[in-house]
Amino acid sequence: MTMTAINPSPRALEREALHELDDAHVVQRHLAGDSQAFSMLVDRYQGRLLSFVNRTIGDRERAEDLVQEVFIRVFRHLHRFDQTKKFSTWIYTIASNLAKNELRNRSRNPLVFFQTIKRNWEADHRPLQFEDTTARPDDLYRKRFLKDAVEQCVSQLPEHHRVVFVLRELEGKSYEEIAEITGCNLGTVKSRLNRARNSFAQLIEPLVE
Amino acid sequence: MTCREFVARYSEYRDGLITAPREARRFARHLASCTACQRYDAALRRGIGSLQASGPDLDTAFRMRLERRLASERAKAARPSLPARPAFAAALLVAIAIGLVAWETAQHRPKVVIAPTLPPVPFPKPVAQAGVPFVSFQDPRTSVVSGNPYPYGTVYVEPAFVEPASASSTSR
Repeated sequence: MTMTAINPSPRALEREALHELDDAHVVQRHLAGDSQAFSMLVDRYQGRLLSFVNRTIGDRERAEDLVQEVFIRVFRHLHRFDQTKKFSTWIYTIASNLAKNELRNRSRNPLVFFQTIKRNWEADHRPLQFEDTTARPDDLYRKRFLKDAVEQCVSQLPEHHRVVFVLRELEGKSYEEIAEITGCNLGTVKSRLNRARNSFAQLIEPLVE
Repeated sequence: MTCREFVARYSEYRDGLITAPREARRFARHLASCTACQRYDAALRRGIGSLQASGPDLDTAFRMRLERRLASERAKAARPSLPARPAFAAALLVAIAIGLVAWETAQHRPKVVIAPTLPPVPFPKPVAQAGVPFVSFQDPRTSVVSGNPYPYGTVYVEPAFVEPASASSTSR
């Protein structure tokens, strides 16, 4: 009986090796001409950035467009990135600035209020067939209710509090990183985060009891 | 510790920034004994837990769209570096315009007519009248028309009578 060993392709091996590297090394590999390195950066950040931008601007479709724009900008300007700094801080700063611009443009153009109506409408008509069928219906309802409620509470926070809150609680950024991303000093970050947490707790408390 | 103090410094406590053991113990004691702060802490943790559990689902269309855009960026970067097209076109247009103006000037150069120089003309010599300039308060119009043509608002002043020098000497 002969056994045929399945040898992984060199491309797969290369990808496996990239997985082991930290961001700084992946950036170096990209700059050195590795065609797979940038895809690795996209894999690492696409979900996190989409979550961050989506929660900051409250519009999923627009958030996708903005995240695409973030990656295009990173691709164009990666050779200018100061490699002594943290890559994640740099990419979040780009995303934060784009989200801020989006909110600023929106406040100038009242037509985009339609997005709010559309979002609420979608929440009411979301299909149920993709839910976990093994869970009990009341659990499903409670879970969905809580999810919608917390998203609603986050969207009710003022913009500058919301950004800090999302970066800390969902992205796990340090105070120093948040200060760098938002362009504020450390004291401002601390006070904004405390206020955001207080506001969020007050909003969510009656809903989770 | 009061609830107000707890809420005011809650962020520091939650993020582990209270390093002094005594302070940390104060926070822990308050949280263990105060039901209001327990509710506050539990609500926040539960809310954030729910947020962390629900991330946006990425569809394949997003990634495909991004890959297409990145491929076009790669193609753009791989192209040999030519001068930027708009700048190149603008420079070309300016060069053509300058060339046309130069050619037009060379073809139709305007004839410049030089005016002939005129012969010198004798200018009349000004005559200076010696003597004290004549000053009078008389309305100059009265000297033109006999009598006063403007009787209202004007005063007719008789010209001063000057006795001839010979007459005054004989009277003496």
